[in-house]
Amino acid sequence: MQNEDIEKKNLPEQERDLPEIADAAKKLPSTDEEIQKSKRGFGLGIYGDKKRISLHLLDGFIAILIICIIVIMIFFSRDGGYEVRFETDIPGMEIETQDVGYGKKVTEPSEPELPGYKFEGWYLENGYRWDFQTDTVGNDIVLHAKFSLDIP
Amino acid sequence: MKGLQSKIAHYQSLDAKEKKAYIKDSLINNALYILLVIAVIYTYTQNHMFISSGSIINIISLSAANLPIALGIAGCIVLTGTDLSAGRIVGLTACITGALEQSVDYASKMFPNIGPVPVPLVILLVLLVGGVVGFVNGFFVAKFSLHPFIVTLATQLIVYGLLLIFLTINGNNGQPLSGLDEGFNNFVKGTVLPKIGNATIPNYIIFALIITVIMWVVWNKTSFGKNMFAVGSNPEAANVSGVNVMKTIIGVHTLAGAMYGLTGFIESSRIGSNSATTGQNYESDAIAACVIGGVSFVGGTGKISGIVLGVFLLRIIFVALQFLAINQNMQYIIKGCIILVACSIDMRKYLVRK
Repeated sequence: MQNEDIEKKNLPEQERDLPEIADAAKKLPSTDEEIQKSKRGFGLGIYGDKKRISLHLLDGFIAILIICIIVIMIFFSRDGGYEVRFETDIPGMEIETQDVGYGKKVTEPSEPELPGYKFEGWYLENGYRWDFQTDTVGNDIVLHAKFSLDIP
Repeated sequence: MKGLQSKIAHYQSLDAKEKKAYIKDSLINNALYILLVIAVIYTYTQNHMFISSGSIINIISLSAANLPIALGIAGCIVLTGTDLSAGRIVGLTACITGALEQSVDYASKMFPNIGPVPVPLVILLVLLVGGVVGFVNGFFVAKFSLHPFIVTLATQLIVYGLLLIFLTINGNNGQPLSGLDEGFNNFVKGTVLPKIGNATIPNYIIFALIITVIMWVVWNKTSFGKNMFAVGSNPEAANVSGVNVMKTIIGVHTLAGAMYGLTGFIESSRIGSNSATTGQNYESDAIAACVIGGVSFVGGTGKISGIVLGVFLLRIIFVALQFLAINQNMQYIIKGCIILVACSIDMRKYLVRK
């Protein structure tokens, strides 16, 4: 009992007061490998084994990707803007496609005519009726002409 | 300013070879910021409208709408995990909000006998729904040490199934939920601030600011936030130090779920017409924003300011792609490349630190 007291006095202050913490601290993973191993216990460590990764290869990969993004942006950006197509389903009738910049309005084309039918307006594929006064373009779109039977 | 001066002094003290390595390191580590600058300049040369008050408010609004989901998912990344169910939770909560906030006179109202529900009640409900799914995620990750990727992949499917079922209630037959109450729309999309030019500042920017401040306090000023970083850095050490690892992991996922709920609440009004596709792939943008903002997949690191910056940076690039009228399909390829670059830079920083 006396020997135990002497041993306790020789310990650092924190370890003397809380010996269970000192014991637990000894069990802690100390090396990087052990830390990574301990993380795996929680099903984490998403990057996996990092020993085989070449920094030069990674640098080259990042540089190539950045260059690719810039090239795609420049190559695929269209000065004219998004393509707005008009479909009437009337044989022989074609309405000129418009190139409209992002956030800009579409110019309303002349109303298509189909004998016996009344023109209802231009609609998107999801059934939304396009409002040429307020709606703006944010992507390539196709506008379909809608007709109803013209009953006098 | 002092930091910049010390950096210049440090650079001048290097020899020629070290200077070359320093420049290379700086270029690679800041590759995304360089890309941003190039994108902004190029877009401006193509379309001057890109730098206008309307466009800037649009970027801020889009960022604000995506900020809560990024702040939520960031906690999961700090724990070296992820959350693939985020987007679907946004979709479910957006549709719940939409169904409860349809105006009385709307023809195909999902719940014709219920008028627009008071907004605070809906906020509580979406917090609860998101929180419950988050709790389930956290419980399986913490209790059974399952990988968050798998757990959240499973809950993503479950939530999507629930969303599809929800959209068929009362003969709705999967139709989008629209015709929202004007009072609700005014609460979210209305404005209490003066106009800047012709552009209005929607209220949800203020909501995003409040949420950001709350999350900053949670992350930096509470023991829960400190425990989160401890568990993310080393769960074993955190456990030994007396941190309740299980409680922390469950708490982080539950909080993340609540954040997705709030995103869904905002999105329901912002989009106006909510369907099963609402929220789709939101998690990928949020994860990318977090990684760009310095929340490392290695775990235990991340700042709220970094996340906010990451969300803005990503949104600026996305809006620039729209202004350049780049085909939608090509935009997905660019977004994927940006995520790859962000993760690679994160990995590089980790390797250099080692």
